[in-house]
Amino acid sequence: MVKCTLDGTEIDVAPGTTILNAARDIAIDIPTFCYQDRLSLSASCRMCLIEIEGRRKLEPACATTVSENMVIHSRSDKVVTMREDMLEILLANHPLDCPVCDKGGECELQDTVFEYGKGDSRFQDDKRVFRTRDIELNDVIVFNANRCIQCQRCVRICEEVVGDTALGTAERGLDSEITGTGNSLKDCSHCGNCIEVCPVGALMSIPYRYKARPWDMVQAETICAMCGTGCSLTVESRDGAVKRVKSKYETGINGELLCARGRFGIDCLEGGTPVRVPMIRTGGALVEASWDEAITLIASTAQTIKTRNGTIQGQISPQQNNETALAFQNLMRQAFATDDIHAGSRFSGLRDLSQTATRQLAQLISTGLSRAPLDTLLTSDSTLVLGANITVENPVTGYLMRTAVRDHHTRLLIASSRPSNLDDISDAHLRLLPGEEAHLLSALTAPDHIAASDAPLQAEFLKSARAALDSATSVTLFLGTEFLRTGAVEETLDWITHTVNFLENAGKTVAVQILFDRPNQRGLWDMGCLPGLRPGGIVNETAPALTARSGTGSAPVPDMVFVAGADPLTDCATGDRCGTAARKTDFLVVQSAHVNATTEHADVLLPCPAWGEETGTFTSNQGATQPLQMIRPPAPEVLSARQLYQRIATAMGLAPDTPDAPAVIATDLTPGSAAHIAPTGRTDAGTPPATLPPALNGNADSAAASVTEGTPARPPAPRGARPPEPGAGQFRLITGASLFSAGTLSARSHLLQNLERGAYLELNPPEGLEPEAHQYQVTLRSGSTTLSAPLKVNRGFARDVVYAPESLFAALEDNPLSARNYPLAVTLTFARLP
Amino acid sequence: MSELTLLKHIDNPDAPRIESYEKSGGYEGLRRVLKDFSPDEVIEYVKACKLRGRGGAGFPTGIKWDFVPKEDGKPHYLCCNADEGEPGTFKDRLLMERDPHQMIEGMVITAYATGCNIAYVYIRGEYGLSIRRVQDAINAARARGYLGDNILGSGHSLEIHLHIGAGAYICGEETALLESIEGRRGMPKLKPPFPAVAGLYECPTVVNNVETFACLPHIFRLGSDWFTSIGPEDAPGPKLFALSGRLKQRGVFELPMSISLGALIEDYGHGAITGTLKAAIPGGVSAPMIPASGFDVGMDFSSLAAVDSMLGSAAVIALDETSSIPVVARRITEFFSHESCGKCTPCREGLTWAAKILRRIESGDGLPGDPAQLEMLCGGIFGNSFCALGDGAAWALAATLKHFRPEYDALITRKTATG
Repeated sequence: MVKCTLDGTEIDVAPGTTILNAARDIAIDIPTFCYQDRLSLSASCRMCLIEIEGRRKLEPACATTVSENMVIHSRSDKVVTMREDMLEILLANHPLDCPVCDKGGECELQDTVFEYGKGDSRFQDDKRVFRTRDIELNDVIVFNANRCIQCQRCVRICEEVVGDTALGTAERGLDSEITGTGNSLKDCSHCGNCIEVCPVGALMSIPYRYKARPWDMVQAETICAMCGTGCSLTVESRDGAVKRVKSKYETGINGELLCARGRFGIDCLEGGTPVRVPMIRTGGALVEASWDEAITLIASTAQTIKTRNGTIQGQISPQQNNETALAFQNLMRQAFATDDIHAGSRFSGLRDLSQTATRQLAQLISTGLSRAPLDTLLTSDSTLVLGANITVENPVTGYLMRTAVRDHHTRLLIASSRPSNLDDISDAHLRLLPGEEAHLLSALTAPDHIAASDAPLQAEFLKSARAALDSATSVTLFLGTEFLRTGAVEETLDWITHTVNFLENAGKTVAVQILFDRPNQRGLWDMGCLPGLRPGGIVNETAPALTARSGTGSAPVPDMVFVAGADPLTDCATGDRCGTAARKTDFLVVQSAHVNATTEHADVLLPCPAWGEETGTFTSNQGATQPLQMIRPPAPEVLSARQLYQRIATAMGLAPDTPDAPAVIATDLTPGSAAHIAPTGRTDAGTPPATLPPALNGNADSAAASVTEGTPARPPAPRGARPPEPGAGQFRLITGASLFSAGTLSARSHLLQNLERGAYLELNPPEGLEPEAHQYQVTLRSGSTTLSAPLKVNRGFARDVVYAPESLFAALEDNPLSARNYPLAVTLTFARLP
Repeated sequence: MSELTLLKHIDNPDAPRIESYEKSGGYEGLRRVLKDFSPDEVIEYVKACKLRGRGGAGFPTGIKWDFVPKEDGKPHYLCCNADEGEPGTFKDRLLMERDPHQMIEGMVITAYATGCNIAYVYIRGEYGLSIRRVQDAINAARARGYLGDNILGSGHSLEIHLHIGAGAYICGEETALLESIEGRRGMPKLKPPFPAVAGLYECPTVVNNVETFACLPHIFRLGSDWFTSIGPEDAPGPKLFALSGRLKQRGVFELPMSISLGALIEDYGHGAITGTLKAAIPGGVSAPMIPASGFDVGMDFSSLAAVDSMLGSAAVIALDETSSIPVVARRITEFFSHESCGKCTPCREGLTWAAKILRRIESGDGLPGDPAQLEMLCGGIFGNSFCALGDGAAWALAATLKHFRPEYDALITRKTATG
């Protein structure tokens, strides 16, 4: 510890502590503008200058570390005068247009002047007017040059955290101006983090422009539903109307960070056609009905099906909260006596898992996934991202990963089908098709499994990856959900389990997180919304064989399908059991806040609260269960899902117990706390010893010494759901979330849909098309499917892969992307745009 | 001093050619170093010579080299600061145009001492002839085996690259210079870490001035006793002084330090063009001006510091009675304002504001509170800037107010009296 005296108080601080942080620890406020915890040091605003005895000049508190016996004054006359002078000169050219500035009331310059300013100015000359008009840098960000104080926080967060490097500085001296290429940010991520960190009203949100004053609004603290990262949002409303979303400094997993979907997608609350009243299909058309009529019909139909040993299936959307999910599976299992419960319309690969694989997945969900703060996982020595495009699926996770690589020198390995902006800062990256994950894991942990055809493709990546894993004492495995859409789920689960065991047996601490691109997928599974998994992660050893498991043939259609919030008719691939069930069942019950393809098809349609219209909890990818606050109440006549299920059960003459959410749900992820569940080892007791493959045995001494009890038996070499090598002109189609469009919530946001700017097909263009590839239209054909869209160039893709946003398939009659043929073999033709 | 060293051959049109340089003893110092000295011995020898940097700050060169970590496994870089941008300063230009091999030889010696295999000459973009002469000298030295792989069989290798500056004064500041070489905005960086530890591409980097490098061949050819016999004990060796302004004789002079400012002006500058001198700036425009009454001061680091000025780049600008001090102050302040990189608040905001006030005073619209405002800007604002550019601007302006306040008052009261 280092001893120093700060404003007369003697304190001990850890070596390397800055004066600013030492002061904050003892509640001494030192004003700053350019400083921000997450960003590199600038020390340019000079607001935090303090006096150190024995030094001639004042020193910046943010950039000066405490040394032994240092005597520091943060409120000496010299410092007070300096602050007054510095604020006076900052205001000399500042327009002082606070009454018409959106930042008024929450402006750091305003607050600091109020606290530390002198109250008047000696400067009498005319202010410089930098620009007479504001500049709209893109559809969401507007810039007022006159107010900018050049703290460069926006430039730094854009480069260091977001990874866009879209903002920069033009000119120098007093002519320095924050801007993007060509005075535009139209190609940036539109995350608005630059707006959030701007201490003044220089960078502002266009959707929020002139809409409200900060002190006029009420806040709802809730959790974002645009992906599974679980960012904290502050939704601000005036007179009942939502005005904007803010992130709060040092609040939640995300601190001040949000992505475009989280920050600007809040107008999703106004989008879509709401379902207002219960409806029953009568004579081919949906006709308004009372809640009692609908509930009676559902209860009696379910009762009849039960009596004649019929089948019922439940499907629930990952936008539903834990409380709804728990009540839903209770209704299914207890009232409807079915275990055929599904969450995740797109995860086609999960439909027909063997009993063993179901248990393996349940095991992974219940004990295999880490429940630890993402920040902790990201400080691992090595991080392997498998089958995910974090940049667009979980943008904020990506921001945190980027800063971890910078601050902790985490060695990042990425193997995915889609390029991301983290590729550039990775130790190594590899383009890998969905379904090939097991191949990679087996090549990493069992090198004799490398197929000859893989070798040249993977050799370089494998070399780097093995080096990074060899030298690591802690490893985090981030799994994307791509593999859940393929036919290779079972062997992928095998190899994930094996890889974790393998690394743990080599003495490494291993953590696993699944990167869900939907908000509460993890919570739904925790709540038991999966065949063979009971609430609280209890594996159901005696789960009855599902009615649908009838070998490899087509599955029988359930007699009744109950859909909570999901839209299987849009999202399920053709041939997916859930989609077929919803389409063909004799009795389709759909609960939905908004009209969609599945509601159109319903026999009973019931309104339910949308995200933001009820309280509850979401479980994020890191395993934290976080409360949702109501942003606005649902329509008064709308029953909550929990009320509905209760009444259906009652109508069936049952009283399903309503247990509290299971104890497995951790709310506090602080390591060491009671609720913190550390990842547990999965080594089965009876596994025979095996030798460490030579690949990871490179550092013979340390690696060999760390393997004590031997490595568990390997699963069989992946057979692979590898599609056949494409022929000439053939490509493999992959799909997924895009930056501005990821699921129905974002689809209801007009703002996000505008940013998405229509359909596109993204690929690394064939050589013949360069250099004007962006001027081509691509037509994609596969069987009866035909899609045409402009070509979007991305040279990070493999040459034989084409990416289409999954929202494109919403418009198709038949969504061809089922587990049997994902990634899909397609042919592309190119035509020059007129 | 009658015996010239650094400028001995500048009137010889053949001096830039390597044959001519070799004939007059060029590269002998390097041969001696590579033959008789270990890298550490070179550093110790330069320390013993008490060679101080000729760029402005006067930091002991050997000590700076000693900060470079040994055996750290990283590449080390060497940079020659040839961005000579301080108004009034044109000594490096003369060395590069007329006898550039001195600098090249000095760089090879330094690279050997500090384990650098790659060097950059960051050269002022406006110095067209210097750029050509230095490039020719690099090519010639390489052809003769003084650069490239295994220099003179020593096992040491060095490549020198030229980096042409784009006209920013701030890039003469060593951390901004390194940023500029890396392709970033020319802005100063936080110190620590100092460049010797983490400079170019985060690797240990030595940055020295052209004239500093030019001293080295002579030190190793003629010996430390020769070097320390010249000038004052704490700042030995030959020094170049650039004389300009209202002097009858202007140019670059090689003299020992400690010669008095008055003697420099009278004996070498031959006095004022018009009447008498009223002040002189002793070391480039950032050095506070000294009124004529203070000319009896030694031109060395410590003597000038004692009178609140500095040796800086040793560029003397003389002002005679035709020079209006507030106008000089305005031009200096406008220069700094124009060259401010914009990184820190005081320099970016304060300098333009000060220039605005000075322009107003000059145009006859001065107000009685103006000098006080300028003093406040110098003390409370520029003095708290991120790098020395703001300090330099503050010192320069404050000195004009301190020594020539009546000239300001006269301009202001004239307006007050008539208006």
